[in-house]
Amino acid sequence: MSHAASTDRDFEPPLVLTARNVTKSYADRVVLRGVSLELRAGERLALTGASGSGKSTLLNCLGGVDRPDAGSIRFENIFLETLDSDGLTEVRRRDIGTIFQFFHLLPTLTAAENVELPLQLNGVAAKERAERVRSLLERVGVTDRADAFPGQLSGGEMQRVAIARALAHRPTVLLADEPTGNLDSRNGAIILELLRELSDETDTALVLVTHSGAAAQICHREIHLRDGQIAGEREKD
Amino acid sequence: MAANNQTVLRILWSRFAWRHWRLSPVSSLLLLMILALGVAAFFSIRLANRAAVASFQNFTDLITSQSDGLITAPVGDLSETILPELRQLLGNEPVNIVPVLESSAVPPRRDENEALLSRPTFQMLGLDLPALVNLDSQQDNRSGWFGSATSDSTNNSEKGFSPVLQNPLSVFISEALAKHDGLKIGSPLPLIINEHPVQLRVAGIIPNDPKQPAAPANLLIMDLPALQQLTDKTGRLDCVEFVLEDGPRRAEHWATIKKKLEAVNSPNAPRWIVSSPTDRRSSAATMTQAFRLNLTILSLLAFLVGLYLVFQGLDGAVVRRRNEIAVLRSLGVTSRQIQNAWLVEAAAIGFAGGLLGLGLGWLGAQVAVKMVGKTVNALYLTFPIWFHAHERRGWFS
Repeated sequence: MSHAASTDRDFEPPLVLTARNVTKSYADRVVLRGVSLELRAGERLALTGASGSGKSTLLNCLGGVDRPDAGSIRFENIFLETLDSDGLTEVRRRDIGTIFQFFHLLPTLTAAENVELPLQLNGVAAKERAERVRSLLERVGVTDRADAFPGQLSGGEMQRVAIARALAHRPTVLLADEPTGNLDSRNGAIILELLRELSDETDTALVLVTHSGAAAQICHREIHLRDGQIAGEREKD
Repeated sequence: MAANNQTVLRILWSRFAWRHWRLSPVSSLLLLMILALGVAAFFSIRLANRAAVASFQNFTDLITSQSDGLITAPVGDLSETILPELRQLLGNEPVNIVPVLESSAVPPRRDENEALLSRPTFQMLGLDLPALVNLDSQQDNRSGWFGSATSDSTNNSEKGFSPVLQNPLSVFISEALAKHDGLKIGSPLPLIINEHPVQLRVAGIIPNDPKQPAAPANLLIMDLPALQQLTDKTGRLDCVEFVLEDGPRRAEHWATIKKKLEAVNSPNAPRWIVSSPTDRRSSAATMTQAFRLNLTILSLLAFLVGLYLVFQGLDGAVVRRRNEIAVLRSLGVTSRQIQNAWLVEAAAIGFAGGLLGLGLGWLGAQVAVKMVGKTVNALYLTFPIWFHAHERRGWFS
């Protein structure tokens, strides 16, 4: 598992994501108004707020899925606004893992094949792919379901596979949009704990969009959005 | 390092497109069949069109290939009285003059409800058969078809031209018609000619030559005077054909003859129109062109509808798989790679559907050619079929 490098001068992990004055509108509606944040390697950040506060839009901008109308997003040493579509795609392929509320596993692939796909897209050799897939499925506790198709998996199992897929290519940042939104409380708790453990084990930064207070609890920091602006920020003790 | 485009395409094809097809075989097959049917409709009509005209063209090519030219009336028909005049005009030119009369006939109605167009239309050709037989025996000194064993009667009087002498209502039919209707030499053949019912008698069957196109099933050949009488055209002809003897100067002789024929024509009131078999073949093709074009356009419409439905089908598939596309994009597949994968999928459907369509079209053409041919016969075939016994004289000598 990779570890983020820390400088000799301080023990703060390096910044992996920096957003400055990000603004985004859809038609005439302003969704984000000058949002700024920073994320360090291995750090877990919760984005909370009511529906329509701009959480998912901010997440999409951070992941290069949406382009902000103004402001800047720096991903490690790359300014996302300088990249074209293919460039953004490359960043997503290489450095970002995404977890969705509705799992979004690919239905024609088995659990193992879903986890393997990011590795294939990153040109990882077959032998190493097989080993990583096996290891990840074991870590998330779905080894016996490796050959099942998503239609044959429970909600909890699907989200575990989705987490494994998101981490397969060892991304720098994990973006999770309401990962427990479609799970019962028990499975939700299991998934949150898994995210926390894996984030620590792999030193992967996590941005977690959530309505759930319990989800926010696994994070080091919480940013609360209201009407597209940061209404509050707190760090977990 | 990113996987190259080929690897990504292979993954998208094998793990997405192909699996979607396998998981939904009915809808995949339906999409394929829609395109195949469109291709089949277009292809079968094209084939049928070509076959319907080609069968006549091939046959006219065959029978006029030895004919060097002909004359027809500018309006209406020609008088038989021009024959001695032509002989005198052409003097010692090495040419045989073959008078021809054409007509058509239909079989009688089988019942009150039978429609006209459902009955076959026969093309009747009236030729000076004795002259042709004599021509043949003079030229080649060989016994031709008349004397051959095509008659199934051991009675010598049944062979050769004698049946025609005994019964002027004798007719020579094609092998195809004989097989189709179970006709033999001596069989009756009732027809309606010139709105009168007539009972013809089969005097001979034109044998198929494997090296040449077969005589059309609707071709009937009679002695010229008999057909003139049946059609109330005694003393009238539709055309006069000129057949030069083989030789190195054949083209030169024809040019001379053509000049002589045109020389007696007054520009304001031409007595006849001199033309070549090529001119008449193209005229026949032109007449049926509108009909064939209509069929082609209709079949093209079927093809376009098939294409449109396939486009809609693929469009629907893109909408259904929109979620999958979005996930692939989030995982780092470029939009170009996804586009290429869809193009490959569409090309595969197109190729498979097209191949299937060609096969179905060929099968459909077997049915369509009969229908098209029948309609072309019934609606258009008043153009004359020139018969030249020189090449096919095996039929009569």
